[in-house]
Amino acid sequence: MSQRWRLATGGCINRSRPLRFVFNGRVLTGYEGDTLASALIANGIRTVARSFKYHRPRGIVGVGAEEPNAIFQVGEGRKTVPGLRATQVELYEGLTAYSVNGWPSVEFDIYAINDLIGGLLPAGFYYKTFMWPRSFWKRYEHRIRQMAGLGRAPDASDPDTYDKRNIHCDVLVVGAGPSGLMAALTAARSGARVIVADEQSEFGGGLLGTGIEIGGMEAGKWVQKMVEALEKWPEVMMLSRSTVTGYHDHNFLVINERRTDHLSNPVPLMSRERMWRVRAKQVVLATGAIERPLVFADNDRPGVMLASAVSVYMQRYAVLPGRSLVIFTNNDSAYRVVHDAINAGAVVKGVVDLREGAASEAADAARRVGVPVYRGHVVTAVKSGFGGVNRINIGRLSADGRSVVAHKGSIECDVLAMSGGWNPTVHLHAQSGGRPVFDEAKACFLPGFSVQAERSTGACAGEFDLSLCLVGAVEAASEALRQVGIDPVTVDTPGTAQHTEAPLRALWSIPGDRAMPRGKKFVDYQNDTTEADIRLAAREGYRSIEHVKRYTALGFGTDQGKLGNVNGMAILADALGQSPSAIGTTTYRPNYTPVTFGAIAGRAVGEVLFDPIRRTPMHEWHVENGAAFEDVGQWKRPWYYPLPGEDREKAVSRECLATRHSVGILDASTLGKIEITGRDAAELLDRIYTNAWKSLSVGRCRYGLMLGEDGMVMDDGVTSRLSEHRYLMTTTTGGAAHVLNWLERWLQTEWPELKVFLTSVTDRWAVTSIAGPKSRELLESLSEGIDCSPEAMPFMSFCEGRVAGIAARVFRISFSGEVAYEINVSADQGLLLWRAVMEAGKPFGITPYGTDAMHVLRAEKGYVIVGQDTDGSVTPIDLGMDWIVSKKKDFIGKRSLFRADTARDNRKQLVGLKTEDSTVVLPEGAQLVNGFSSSRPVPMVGHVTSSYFSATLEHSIALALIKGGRARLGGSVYAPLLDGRLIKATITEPVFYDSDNVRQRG
Amino acid sequence: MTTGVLGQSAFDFPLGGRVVPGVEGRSDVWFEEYPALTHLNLRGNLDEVDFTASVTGVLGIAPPGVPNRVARTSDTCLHWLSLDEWLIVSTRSAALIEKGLAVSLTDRHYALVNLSGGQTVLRIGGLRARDILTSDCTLDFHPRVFRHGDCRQSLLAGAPVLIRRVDELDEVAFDLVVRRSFSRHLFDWLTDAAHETGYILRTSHGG
Repeated sequence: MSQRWRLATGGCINRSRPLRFVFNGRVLTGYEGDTLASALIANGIRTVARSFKYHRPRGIVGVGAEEPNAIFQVGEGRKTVPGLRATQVELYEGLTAYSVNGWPSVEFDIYAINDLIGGLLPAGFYYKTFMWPRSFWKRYEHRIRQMAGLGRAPDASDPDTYDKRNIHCDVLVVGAGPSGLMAALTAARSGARVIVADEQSEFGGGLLGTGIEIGGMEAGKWVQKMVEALEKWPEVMMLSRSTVTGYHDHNFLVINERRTDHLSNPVPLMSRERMWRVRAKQVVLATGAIERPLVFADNDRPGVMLASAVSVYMQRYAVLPGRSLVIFTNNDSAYRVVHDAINAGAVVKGVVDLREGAASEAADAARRVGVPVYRGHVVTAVKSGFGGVNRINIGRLSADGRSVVAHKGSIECDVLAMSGGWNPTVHLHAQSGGRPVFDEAKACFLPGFSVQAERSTGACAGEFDLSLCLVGAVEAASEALRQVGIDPVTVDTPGTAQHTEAPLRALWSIPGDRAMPRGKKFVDYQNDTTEADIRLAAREGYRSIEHVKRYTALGFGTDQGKLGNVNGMAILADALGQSPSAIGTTTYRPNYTPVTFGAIAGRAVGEVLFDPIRRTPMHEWHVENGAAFEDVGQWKRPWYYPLPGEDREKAVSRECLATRHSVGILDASTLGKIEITGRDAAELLDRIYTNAWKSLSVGRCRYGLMLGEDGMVMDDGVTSRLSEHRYLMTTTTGGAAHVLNWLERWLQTEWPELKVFLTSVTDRWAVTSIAGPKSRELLESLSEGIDCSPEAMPFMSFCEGRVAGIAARVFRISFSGEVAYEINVSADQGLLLWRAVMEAGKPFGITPYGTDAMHVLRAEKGYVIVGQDTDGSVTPIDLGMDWIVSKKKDFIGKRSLFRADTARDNRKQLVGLKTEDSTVVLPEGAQLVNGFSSSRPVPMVGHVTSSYFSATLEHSIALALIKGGRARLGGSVYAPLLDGRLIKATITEPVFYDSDNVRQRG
Repeated sequence: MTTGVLGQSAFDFPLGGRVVPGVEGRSDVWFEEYPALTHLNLRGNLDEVDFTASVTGVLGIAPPGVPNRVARTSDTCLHWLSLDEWLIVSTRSAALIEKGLAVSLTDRHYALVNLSGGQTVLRIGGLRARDILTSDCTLDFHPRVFRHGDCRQSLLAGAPVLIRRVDELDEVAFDLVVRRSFSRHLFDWLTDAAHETGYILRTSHGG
């Protein structure tokens, strides 16, 4: 099908580059430079969608971000994107698009029945109807969703990539229309770092495709010259196809740049979208204005369009939305369509201008070219056929604007170009925290007081005169520059033709034709919100615009009410007998237009890049040896090392038994390590830990518990005295950063008098832990200068020397209950040492074990893991660790241990559990009860914190927190499981193995 | 404490000799590891008697008191980290520096902790190096803001890094001092971020 509605000449399109695309299954052509919307118009396609609720046929209304109707599913398969505005989709070869809201097709939609029964579907219909019976909502919802399709998400992962950039500038100029370009040039010439972002494919904003003369040249030329001038400045970055979607606190703004969507053949490796995260010292908003529809009967018929959009389609895209036009306006700006249409070869049947009174300059110009102007008249009805508008009725407006006093007749036409004035695009100003204020004279909301470092200029500040816009932009940029300490240079503004515009007349709702059946007057096209809905809401008692929004859906949807909001607010004001300024606006929130999840995620997707992965120096060995890994914070720790044919349970049992009977090896590098230096180091430890530290001698190690100020266990670990004033503290893997901050905070804020310095050495040391009855023999075989005898190196001591020829600190500490050594070497030697130990351990059958076996071994010994057996509500006394709580000295959390609640009897206390059936392993987290009970819920007495099958004991073991548990040793509890079983267990001491610690001291 | 054994690079694969072209066929970024350097964390008070003089005596430079600045000699860089904390990165041996300060600061309140092996230096340079750094770091890398001789601590790709501008021969370059455990992640992120600009992995200095 040829482009029958394409003009032979003109426009910013490239006729030598035809592009094929598919719309609703039909193959069509357009040109390079088209949007999907302009290409559809070129092909004479007028009904492009069905409306959300009534399923009325809808056509293209606007030309940019405001478009409410032409919302399509674009692209196929994994690359499909729902909810794109055809007016902002650049055409490319092979583009496919679908309407989403008509079934079986947009031309014939069976749900259009909703339009005929519309009286039964008033505002709040869903709230009023589908609430009963409540349990049926799920069924209703399914049907409603099908009727009100919103497109679909792709069903496979996105093949495209997305990325981000963080960037700073002195001045961010949002919008590259005449004001934005002028402001940017001022800032650029003054030497500022400037970013210019514009959502369109080309710079120029509202000037694009107009024949306006500026600076003695055609507008397009002027824009080109400005852009060339700006691009010469190295400190200027120009971003097209880039929407500033969010304005957040601290002048942090987000720009969404679409880099490849317009390309038929995307460049391999190039990200599809880029999210620019901008920290701008100053922001100049030059976002322009969006034309406002008029609210009259059947104002949604295909062919009823914004006047400015009609002009842009004809001028910029060289397409004819129709061949015979009527213009309906309340202001002078729409008269431009008269001349644009005549130039394009269309017939203008008349201008219906609802303003009374003497002819204006614009009206005179229209009459001069033979176009009748009907002053004081309104469109009272829109008649439409299969293809949309074909006739309109007009009538004379009463003096008060509330009724039509005389029927004037009807005019045949296929496009009705409407203009109800202009809404400055105050969205970003409002997002920044500003409150738009209503201007009675201009009948629109203007930016209010600036809360952040931003200023609006040009049409978005309510200035609609081009020459004044240019002057204002220079002033705005100059002020922004002064604010950041840059002297603005003087920039001359180009001359433009002067026009005298007559003021508009705000008439928020156009009275209908009494003789005709009343048509619906749409306020919000996308949500099918009508004037009647808003008036109904007012009658039903709604007062706040925020409530009316939620009741009528005004301003929801992907367009966020860019066309309808202000009309809706004004109609509510009228219904309530207030002024629009009293009603105010709803809250404008980010994002200005929808942003893909891909752009938000950026490159941080997938296993590798989603979150930082910390690896130990021995990581590669673990990988080579088939370790399954466990995430511990950001660390990857070996979980267990399955041999061929082994499952997790078998592997863990084997690892445990090998450690108990010979020697096991564990990568313990992830433990947090803090070096504490200074003459008050022991004093700091005394205050932080519950036990006493000043008695620890050099070369010895001690276990410590630290509490929060609430007396609850916060972290634990072994601290060693390296020399007179030097200690090495270890923390839990996950608690390292928190503990360092905790210590540093106390030193800096409360105890600045303590002479102590802290340094994190977590990454400095690779830690190879060997444990088991053969560990001493193994260490002896490898070490030089270290006396490994129990006398020279008793439990809880350390020494320095060489292991496998590598300088090492060897700590004799144990988390397994066996004789164990933690060999610390410089991280860059960690893998070498590990390999050497593995080699030397072969005769002993050395067995690498992971965190799972480590957990079993320590649970057999009743050693707690902070964060697993404790949960921030557990005191050392609850853990049965009274022995570590000093009575003599003070420490953080001590006082809290004497609060009534922490000192009471019936607190949950740590105990062991042995199931009656030795093979049953209780689930961790299982709730515990005292048995059958008639009360509901059954009283819960505690829960399981750790639970394993102990291969050593050939019995399942568990640790649990049970109310008053210490007093119930030997008694029974029950664990009711989800599958209905009730597992009986005996309460025991939490130490299951070698309770006299003979093995680890050996 | 000297190790006596040649240290292992933080990267568990050979870094050198790979050229990966980007969208335009060029490789506008390069990476290079500087492993096996001495890293020492120094803490002390500038107003403590002898502190500045002792550090100057041992290293040949005074610890910078101006935030985010680096003092350097031909073999040593001294990075400002906080009011009482600096990072020494040097080709000299840790033991010598430790011994030197221990002698001149006997009984003074300071801390010198050897971090060698626990962190490494990854240098990123080339035409588009700043682009890659801004892929997930919120610092301002503009040459007037992040000047030659400046250092900053921040998160890059979620990893804590110390970044130092080290332009060489008019080519943009930054040193990233990163903890060993994060180094592979950082490398994965940066090379991924550079797939559009293309990149070169240079043979490590001394690695």
